[in-house]
Amino acid sequence: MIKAVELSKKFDRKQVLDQVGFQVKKGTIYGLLGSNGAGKTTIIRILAGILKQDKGSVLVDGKTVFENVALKQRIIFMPDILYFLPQYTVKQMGQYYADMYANWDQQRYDQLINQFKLENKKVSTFSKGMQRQVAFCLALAAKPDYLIMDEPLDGLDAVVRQRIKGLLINDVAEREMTVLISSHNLREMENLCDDVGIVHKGKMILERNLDDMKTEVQKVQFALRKGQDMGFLEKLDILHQEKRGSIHLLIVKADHQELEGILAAQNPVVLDMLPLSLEEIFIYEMGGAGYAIENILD
Amino acid sequence: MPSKTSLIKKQIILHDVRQVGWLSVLYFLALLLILPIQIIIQYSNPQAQEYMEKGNLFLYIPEVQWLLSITVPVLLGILLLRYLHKKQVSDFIHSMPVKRVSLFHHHLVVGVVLLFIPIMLNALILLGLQAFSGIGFYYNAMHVLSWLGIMLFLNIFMLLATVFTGMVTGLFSMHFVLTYILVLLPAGLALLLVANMSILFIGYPVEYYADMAIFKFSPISYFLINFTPDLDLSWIVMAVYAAAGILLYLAAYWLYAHRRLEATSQAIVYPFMRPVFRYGVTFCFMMAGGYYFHAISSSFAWVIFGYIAGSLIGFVIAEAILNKTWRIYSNYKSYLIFAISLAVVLIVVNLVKENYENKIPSADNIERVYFGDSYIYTEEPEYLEPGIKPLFFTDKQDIELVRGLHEQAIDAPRADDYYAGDLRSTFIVYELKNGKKVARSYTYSLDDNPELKSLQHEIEGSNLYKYANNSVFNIALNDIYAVDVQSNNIKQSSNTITDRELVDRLIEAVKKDIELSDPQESLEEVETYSLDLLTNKDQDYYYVEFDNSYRNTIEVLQEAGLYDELKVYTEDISSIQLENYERNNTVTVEDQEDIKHILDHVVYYSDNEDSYFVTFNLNRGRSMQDELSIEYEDLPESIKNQLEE
Repeated sequence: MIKAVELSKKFDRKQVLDQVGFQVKKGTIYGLLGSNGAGKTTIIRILAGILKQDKGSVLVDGKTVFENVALKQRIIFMPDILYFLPQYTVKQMGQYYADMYANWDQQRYDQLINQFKLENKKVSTFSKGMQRQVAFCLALAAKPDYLIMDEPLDGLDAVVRQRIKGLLINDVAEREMTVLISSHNLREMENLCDDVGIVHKGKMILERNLDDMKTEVQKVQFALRKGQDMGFLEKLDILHQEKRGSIHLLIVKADHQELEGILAAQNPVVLDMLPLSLEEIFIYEMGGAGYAIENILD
Repeated sequence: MPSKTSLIKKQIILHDVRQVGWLSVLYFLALLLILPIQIIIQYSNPQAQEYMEKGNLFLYIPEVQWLLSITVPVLLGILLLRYLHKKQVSDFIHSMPVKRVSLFHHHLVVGVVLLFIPIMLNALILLGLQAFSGIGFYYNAMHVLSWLGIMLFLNIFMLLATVFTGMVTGLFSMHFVLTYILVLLPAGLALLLVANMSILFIGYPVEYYADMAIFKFSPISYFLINFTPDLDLSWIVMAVYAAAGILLYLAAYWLYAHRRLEATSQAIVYPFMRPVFRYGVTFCFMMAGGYYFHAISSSFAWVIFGYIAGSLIGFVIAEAILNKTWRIYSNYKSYLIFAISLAVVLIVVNLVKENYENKIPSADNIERVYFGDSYIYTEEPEYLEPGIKPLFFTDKQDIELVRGLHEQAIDAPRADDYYAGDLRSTFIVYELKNGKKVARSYTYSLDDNPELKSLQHEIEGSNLYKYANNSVFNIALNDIYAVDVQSNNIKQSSNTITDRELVDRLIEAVKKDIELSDPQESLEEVETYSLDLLTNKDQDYYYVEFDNSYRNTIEVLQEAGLYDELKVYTEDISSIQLENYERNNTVTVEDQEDIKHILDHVVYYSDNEDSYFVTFNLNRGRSMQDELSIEYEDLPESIKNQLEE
């Protein structure tokens, strides 16, 4: 489990993180969302044991990561801009990791390299996307308990992205690997994360479990007969309301079945429970709080 | 979970060697060329072999050995620590499950080993050559071992300094600059301070402090001076360097443990060091600026201008480096802080200035006084030039004399290099009874101050002064096996006296003449002679110049029948050629009266337009083609008339 409490960090005089707290449960995937410069990378670099926070704590399995070799053995950090040792081939990078990580699984590495059809060439000669694949092969072959990644899916084509997502989910399911991913792209996280946290200007402004959210907020469209009493709406926790002709569109904080029951009782002409994207949930839910999520995430 | 990886990370070492191993190989080859190969080439060439010297291994292009020793370790250190100065690399390495302590030692040890191998291999080759060939005649095993030790010492010191600065900076480019600043700083700062003290305080003896071995303050300058065949390292200096090296190591270690990696790509990583850098650079530039303007103008207003301009330039440079931009005007407050502290310093300087400048120890407290026209304040024979002895006054009367001169010197206007006149440089060190020393130095002109002039001459006329400043008093008579008597101008004449009795008498006589000589009377310009004292000690020879006023000497030479060969008589001259190239005028003088007149007025080279070059044609002995001249007004009337026609 990763637990961050009141994490604060200044770069010179600039406050980069201001009392950030969050929790990642074992065997789950956590999405750290926020625009560029929000502080995601700093959180990740602290988690990877690269930086040291000024205040607060971040514990992995109850221990600090900074200079903790035994713990770092179990954590792999993948930066947004990848780095490979100069002139090193795919094989040599594997040897380097093997020397560093006790759990290194050479067989798995070879297997993954084959799976991605990567040749044993100098990694620097590869395209960005291929380099990202090498990084995933290295990370997964080290069999970490924690995989911390900064914008890992950027610049990958859909096929590869899907394959990598599959591998991640597989490791999470099989080995109870814990994953933390930062992204500025909400849509990308939608079918991947169990929980998400939104960071803005160094602060954690929202933390949610995605399954909970999806069951908490509903989108529905319905049409009633003319002149029918709309008083029942007052009992609902409406986040957003729209009317197109005779069709009402509602986004409501409510249980799916309960809401369907209430609406069905009005004998509507039309009643459709619609799927809700993660983005919509955030936008409508946060809209009330006065934050323009649209601006925070692109 | 027990870790199955070991403490020694083979891959880190492998990576380092892949990155910087080439440097070690090149280093090996360079040393191989300078030492073993060069020695073999010299040795195998019979002609070169003749000139081969015996001695230590710093006989062989020591400058290049020195240059390699101060650059290769720095380059190596910079490359090894490059990972600290690039964010991506730094993040990559520091996310690995390796402690910083471990990273630090991996790289340091690789660095040391990569320096050790090329030096050690060369030492082994040299030992092999020495043991198994005739080359062993030119150096011995001890020479190889001391070379090995000294090279390793300097190389490892430079590496440690580089490792330290690598921890201080987050910029690859600054790493190089900072390393040399660090290593040269103690010497450079001391030199600048001493130079500036001499601007601010009249009488401040630069040489005295400069000779307190400023060059020892930096291993770069110290080893440059000492990488010589007569290598003579001080154990104390070496111990200080060793201690400094250990401190650098410990400081680097501590700094790394506390390094904030987010400051990668900052010029100075640790915020507490930034003011040190900022004000240090400003201060050094200020002193350099002041000294520069002092050197070119010597007006104090320009010196102040130099301080202000220098400090501003230094400040701008430091700020630009720290902020990595030229847009630094926002930080003018820091400069104000500097300017204000500087003003305070200058006020303090002014307060102590008078006290310092007017300080003359009272005669009762003085044990003895060193007095010299140059700085040879040492009594250790190895630092003294042969024949030179430092002058110490212990007699109360002499001490009073020096104090009197000192008093006058304080008020004398400062003479500058371009100031023509009867200039004197005087260096005084009072050794006090309480063990302290007061040292001062002055340069002044005797023309402006009759009192100073008479005191100066009184001291210069004293026997002690003459003994100290004339080598003939300072060499044992027994060491002189012959004397060459020479005429210095007009006539080429040289006689070597080897007769023991005559040599002794001649030297006695010349000593007596020196004792009798009056410092107010300088030697004649043209008609001078010299004695070259040939000694079998050190194969040195010493030189005494004299003229016809040296009566005793002349007498001895006359008795020995040598004087006539030295002296140019009118009747020896068949004719004199007078030439003025400007006017394209040439005259030949043959009249005996005129010849005598010219002989009496001839001077040693004049650049006056009206002057004439004088060439003597002798009928006895060979003439010497020297640049002798005569002023137009000194010519005999008849010649003037002749020239006018």
